[in-house]
Amino acid sequence: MKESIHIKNLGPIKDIFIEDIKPITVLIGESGSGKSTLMKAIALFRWLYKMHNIRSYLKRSKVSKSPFRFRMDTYFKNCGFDQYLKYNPEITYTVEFPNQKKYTIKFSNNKLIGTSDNDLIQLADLQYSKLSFISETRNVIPLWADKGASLSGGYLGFYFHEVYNDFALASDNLKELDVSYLDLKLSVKKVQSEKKYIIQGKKDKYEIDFKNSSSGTQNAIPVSLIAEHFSNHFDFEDAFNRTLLKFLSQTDNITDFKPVKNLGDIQKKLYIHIEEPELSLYPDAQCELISDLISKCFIENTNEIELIFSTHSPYIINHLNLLIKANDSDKLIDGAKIPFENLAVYQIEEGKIENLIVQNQRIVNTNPLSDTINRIYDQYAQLK
Amino acid sequence: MKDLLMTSLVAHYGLPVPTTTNWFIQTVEKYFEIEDTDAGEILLHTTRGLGMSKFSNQNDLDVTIINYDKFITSIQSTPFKNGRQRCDIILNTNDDKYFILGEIKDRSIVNKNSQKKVRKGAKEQILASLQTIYAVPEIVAYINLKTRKLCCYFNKQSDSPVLLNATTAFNRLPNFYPDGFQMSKPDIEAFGFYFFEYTGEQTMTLRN
Repeated sequence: MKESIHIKNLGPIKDIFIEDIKPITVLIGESGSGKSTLMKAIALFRWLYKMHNIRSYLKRSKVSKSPFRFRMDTYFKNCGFDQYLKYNPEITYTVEFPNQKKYTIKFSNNKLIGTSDNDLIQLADLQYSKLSFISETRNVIPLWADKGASLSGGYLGFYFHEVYNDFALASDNLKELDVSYLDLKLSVKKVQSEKKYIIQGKKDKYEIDFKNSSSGTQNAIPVSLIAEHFSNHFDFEDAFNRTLLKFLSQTDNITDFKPVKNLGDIQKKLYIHIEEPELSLYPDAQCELISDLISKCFIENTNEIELIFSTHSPYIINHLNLLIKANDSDKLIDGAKIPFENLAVYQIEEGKIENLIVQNQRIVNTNPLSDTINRIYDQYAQLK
Repeated sequence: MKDLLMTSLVAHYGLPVPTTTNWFIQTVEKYFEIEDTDAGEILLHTTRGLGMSKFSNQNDLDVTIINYDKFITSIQSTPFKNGRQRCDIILNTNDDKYFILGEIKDRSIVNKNSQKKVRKGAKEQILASLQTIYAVPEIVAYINLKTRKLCCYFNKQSDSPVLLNATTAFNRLPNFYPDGFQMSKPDIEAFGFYFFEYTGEQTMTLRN
């Protein structure tokens, strides 16, 4: 299955086309260049495609009345795209199967095309997916989790609550998480009716509340916990059944439902999107976090995962080359390796995209993130 | 190519004939480096480390290096020159093989752009140069005879103070791959050219 996306006139994005979204896609670019916009647009259209799959499944299972309508104005608002609407954005998302069957969802002239009853997904192509968007607001999670119910009713934005929900779900399933790259362990304990998150130092044997841990720990643990949960512990069947039940209960015609296919026969996929996994981490830990993430998502995983993350870190981009080389040498670095063919690295600049994969070698061109250090010492040399 | 610039390009754009001198160099040296000076001249060096772009020419190809920036700058036509981006050099061999547009990053470029955009600026200058010369049918016909059409960004590696290894540490990757990096650049590829980036010791090898 091949995904492509073409985005025009969406905020900082002028015209970006990704012909084949690879299993590991990395975005670099200056602040405000459009990395998050691109990632959010991809996540939104993956979600629309997911919902179109659910609608197609229900329709093909004799549920004639659609249980939901797509409300692009709400979705755009959630993404922070509502102010871009006046510039007439255009987004085309296409999924192509090996049998050359294509499904296209397009937003153009303020209308969504490709999700009608005439566009239903064929039985053989049905997919059930789960998306996670680990936003940079994840550093609020420890405080939010600590306050628990006392903060209920508060709203910190769509993406915070998305990542918080995934964190809460993950910590329901995982009571302990070994975070070797920070030399510590997360423990989730039940205290009365509430969860308590404890950080334990493995070497120094200290124990502190998650909310009092270092900023690097607070940023990194949600990434590792959610990745571990989705890669190995996410229960597709439970999620699928809950989704079906939710929508069937809204249609009032549950008796009409004649499941056309079992979940076991439907393709399943998890999509993880992460804003700047390296936040607040020392360079060594940044690299080890990436190895940990790759290991969880692509080496030790039981669920099939696609990963997109943005970064400003030259260390991470260079570390990707090490993981490519590890794969080519049939070795693991901190439990990780990356097949060159599965990786894409793009630089976003002035609304356009540039592929940083070197065409005549099996590496990523890391020079754009090395230029700063060269510039510093060029200027240094000029000061007599 | 230098004659085509001086006659066909000038005629195509209706420009006065430039009277500039020392705007091209010819060489058959087996190894040479090109320096783009702050004064806008290009110098040829055969000693390693003196230039900003490195060429290996083991087959003794007859190479002409045109100071394209100087040529354009010398044209006495403000409307033509103003805002017209141009790359530093055009390098071609006196056979049917190489036609290369090159942009050489040096410290003066860093100054000009104050902080950033050097890399992007280099590619834009190359692309703009392609657009300028591709408007001239005689030049297009000449380029079409060439089998290796390249656009190159020569990204000189900087030095840091002796006690620090920051610049060398951040620039180690090119040491593993001496032949330059071919990057995807659809705007340039649309002209039938490939885009390469050379950093530090990476050397453009002119092959038979």
